[in-house]
Amino acid sequence: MNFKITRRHLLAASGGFLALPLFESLASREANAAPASDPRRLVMIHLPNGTVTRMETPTWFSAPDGPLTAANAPIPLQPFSANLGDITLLRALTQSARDQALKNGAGGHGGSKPCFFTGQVPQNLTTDASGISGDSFDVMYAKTTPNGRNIYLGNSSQGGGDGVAYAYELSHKNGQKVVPEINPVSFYNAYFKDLAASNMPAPPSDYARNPKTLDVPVAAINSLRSELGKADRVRLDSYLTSLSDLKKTLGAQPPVATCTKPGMPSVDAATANQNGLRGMPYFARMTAFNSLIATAFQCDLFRSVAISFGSEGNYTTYDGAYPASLNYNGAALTIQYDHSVSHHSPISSEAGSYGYEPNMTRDRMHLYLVVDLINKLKAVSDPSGSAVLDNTIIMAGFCVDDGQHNSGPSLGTPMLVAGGKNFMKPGRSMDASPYDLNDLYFTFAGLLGMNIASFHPIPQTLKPYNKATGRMSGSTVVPL
Amino acid sequence: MKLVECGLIAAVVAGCTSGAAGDLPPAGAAGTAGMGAQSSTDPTSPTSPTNPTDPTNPNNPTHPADPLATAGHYALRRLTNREYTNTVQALLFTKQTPGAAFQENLPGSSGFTNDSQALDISSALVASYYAAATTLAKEVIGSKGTAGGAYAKLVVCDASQATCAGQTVSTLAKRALRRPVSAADLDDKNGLMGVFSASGTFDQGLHDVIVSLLMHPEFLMIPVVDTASLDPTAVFALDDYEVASRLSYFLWQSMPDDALTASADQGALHTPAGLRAQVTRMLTDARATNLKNVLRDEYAGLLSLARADLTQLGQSNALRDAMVGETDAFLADIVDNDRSPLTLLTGTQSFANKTLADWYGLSFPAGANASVFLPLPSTRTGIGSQASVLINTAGGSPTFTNPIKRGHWIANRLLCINPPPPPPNIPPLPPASTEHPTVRERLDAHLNTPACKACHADMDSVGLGAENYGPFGQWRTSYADQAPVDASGTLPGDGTPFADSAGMYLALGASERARTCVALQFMKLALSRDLGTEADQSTASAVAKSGVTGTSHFSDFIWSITTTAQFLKQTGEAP
Repeated sequence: MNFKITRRHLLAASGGFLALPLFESLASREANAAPASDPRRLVMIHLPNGTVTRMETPTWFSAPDGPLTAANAPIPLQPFSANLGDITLLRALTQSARDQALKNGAGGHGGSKPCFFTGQVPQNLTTDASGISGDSFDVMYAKTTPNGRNIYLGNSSQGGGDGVAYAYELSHKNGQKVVPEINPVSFYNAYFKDLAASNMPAPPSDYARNPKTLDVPVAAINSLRSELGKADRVRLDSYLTSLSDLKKTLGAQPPVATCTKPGMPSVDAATANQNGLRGMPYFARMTAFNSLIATAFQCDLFRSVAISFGSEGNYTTYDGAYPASLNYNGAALTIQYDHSVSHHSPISSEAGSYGYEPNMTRDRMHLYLVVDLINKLKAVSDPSGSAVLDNTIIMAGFCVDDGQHNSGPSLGTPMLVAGGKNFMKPGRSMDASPYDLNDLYFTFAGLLGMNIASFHPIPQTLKPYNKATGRMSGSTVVPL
Repeated sequence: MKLVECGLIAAVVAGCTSGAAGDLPPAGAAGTAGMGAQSSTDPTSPTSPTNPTDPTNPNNPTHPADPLATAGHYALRRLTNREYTNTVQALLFTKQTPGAAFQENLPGSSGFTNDSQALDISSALVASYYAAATTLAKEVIGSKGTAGGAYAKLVVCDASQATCAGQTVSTLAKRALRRPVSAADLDDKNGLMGVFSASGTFDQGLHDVIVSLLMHPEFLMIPVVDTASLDPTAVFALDDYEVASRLSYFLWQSMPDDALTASADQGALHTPAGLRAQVTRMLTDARATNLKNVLRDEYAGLLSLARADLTQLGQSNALRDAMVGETDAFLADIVDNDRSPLTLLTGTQSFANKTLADWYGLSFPAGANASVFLPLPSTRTGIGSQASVLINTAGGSPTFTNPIKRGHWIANRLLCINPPPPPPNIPPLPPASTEHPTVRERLDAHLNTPACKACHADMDSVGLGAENYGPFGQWRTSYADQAPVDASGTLPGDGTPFADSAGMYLALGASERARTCVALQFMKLALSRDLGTEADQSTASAVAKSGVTGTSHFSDFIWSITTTAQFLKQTGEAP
């Protein structure tokens, strides 16, 4: 039975705050509630320090709504034309939690970092960002997966010395910060060292072990039906139909994971200064992580990964050790703080401006790593034959929008969502200004079968902060 | 369903037919006093012919002239999310709150979320049920070995003994299904023992039986069935177990406890004394706080306020919490101290902590704990004049009130007037102008269309009647532009005049219609459906006459609802 909630019923309820978008989101999420037989994965990537979003500079927003092509791809995506079909660019997404943190007095960076994965406004506005009471989205998803593992990989671990680290603030589990793994070798030892090089069938589900658990309720429904009048039978039939659908979903054969044990990575971060990253090629370390993630997904060792790509204090990170083809207009990255590259431009009045070109080179460098992961996930398969990438959601974005020291309310950061072709339609640019980052997480939750009513880690506001869209964050489906 | 006008409400349906079957199923032939009880001349005795609350009293106006019209049909419904959580907590001794993650329940036309017409079951919800069931089952098994844990409470025999499995499953099933279990339920091939046996081990069997029970339609839903279920001309009585379920979900939003089930086992819920004893016990139990919570969240409608961020309107969330806390404490006082339900309309105490007392301009006792809600003398009258309700219905502006929103709440909640929804494309209120400077004049100008005025006449008079309370519930005699507030008007229906907002709430307290509406609202909650027939009005009026008075008690009021035909009987339905 489909019960239409009429406006009369809305008005019959007392009070003045009716979450109309919730109804739309409920209706459209039903189709995604049941997971496919292949597992679904999530990769959340944080790009540090913001980027240039000013409209007068040709940076991120050149692509109109529609397919991403080599002709319209924004500067950071131009070297990756072969992968434009894997990526959706969301332009001008807001981040209400971050905005609220700013309104509460946080600095642009200090308030943004803890909000990005958690969607929560920190109670403590120091740069330590303590006071997050719950889980970040990557942790929330991990807790629903069979292994319950959330993996957090980072460029640096803790702050101090060479600058404040973002990585330490982003992911929270049970109200505590999650310390990222920064060394591919120790990551390998934790998850891959003892992997058997053979097929690893997943254990049977509870339902597969004993289907009678749902046979009894079905029989009870059929018995009860015969005692009820027509209108009541319709209600019962609605349950019977849904229960039958559930039985079909649960009865599907569990996936059989086939994967090959990987070799030990050649980069060992224990031999180098972590925060400065001198002497240890950044690219080599992050691409090693990507290789291991691809294997782990294929082996179904875990399904939720968060990655922090950098920190405010990164310097000599690149040291020229990245493909020169990524340079934009000849702007190479040499000895520069990532913070300087992203925050000092011809427009800023601060001394030592570098222009926006090095920022674009830096963005390309980060995206190279994202595309590396995309390609590695494309190269491995799930039991159904789909590429693992087609069953994986990758998101990559910034928590500080305008890197040029304009830490005001979010003007709309660029956000990339990649993969997931079995349940999303990548390969386009879309205007995301009606949506919030929490809506994105809400949408992911539906695609990942998490069955959450909404992603409202921050208290409901009477009006969205500083926006006229009229939408509440965290309960609207983004059309991915 | 549009309610009848107040002219009909005022006309009490003439008594009951002498000798008609009582509201409780008769032990003997129709026309007897019922229950096998002997009449008493003591007017306070429940069997006295002159005791108006005696359901067997043929002079009791709750006796319907038309049993079919009165009993009504309760539609099969599922548990609300809140009820699901409370039920699994009671059944499996867990502290988890799985219902909080389900698709949100929205109220139906009754105004409550337990409205059977509003509770559909989607595939997504069923998947949530299954996920919750497996998680809860795992938690039970995981508690094995913990003294006082769920496993120890559910498995009270030696699992190595052959009879223990059947004993455990049978006991658990009776509690989960809220009725005695049959041989078919426990069948060792196609029933619950079949589930148990297929699992291989005792613990896995218990796990699987728990999952099976939590997916069972008689766990997730609250059926009422009878051999006459398929006869739309029949009226039948609920059996004791169905009465127990209806009672426990009304008063506790949860399953019957062992004592209530035992009462059903003994057939005691078909005696006035037995039913009365359970109502009294349940209202004095800590679980009655769930009733108070439903009244706060849904009758007063404060769930949305509790989630709102008042800092967006320039106020603090501490003030928000104080306002919600007042209504919470006010309702708790009525339930816990057995006050009259009329207090909802006439209560003149503000339950205020220091924050709210300062807001109201009341004197908070020196030395008292600033965070405790104390009853303080107030000039406000009833729940409608509390700041929580006023701000929640003000319209969301820090500067202006919306008389239409407030008027709709008062009309709907306090007078049981249900205006139909507005037609599409309604323009907003025009801004203040030289021609129509006040909100009253703008409303009149806005509603020049007779079709609009027909509905708004009921809402606007009371909405404007609340104008002495600003957007945050503080008393005012003028607007920001110094224009005087004119909150005079008349109550819809009986036309009682009032000069200002204080007068309006006093008039509501004295209004027979409002008192009847109190009864009607509680009946809607008890019956999980909207009510609006003439018979419903008649019953509500009779319940209000004895139960919503200055000297009545909450427990008596609730008991009188539980003795109505609507509560204890059901009509069949077309096959």
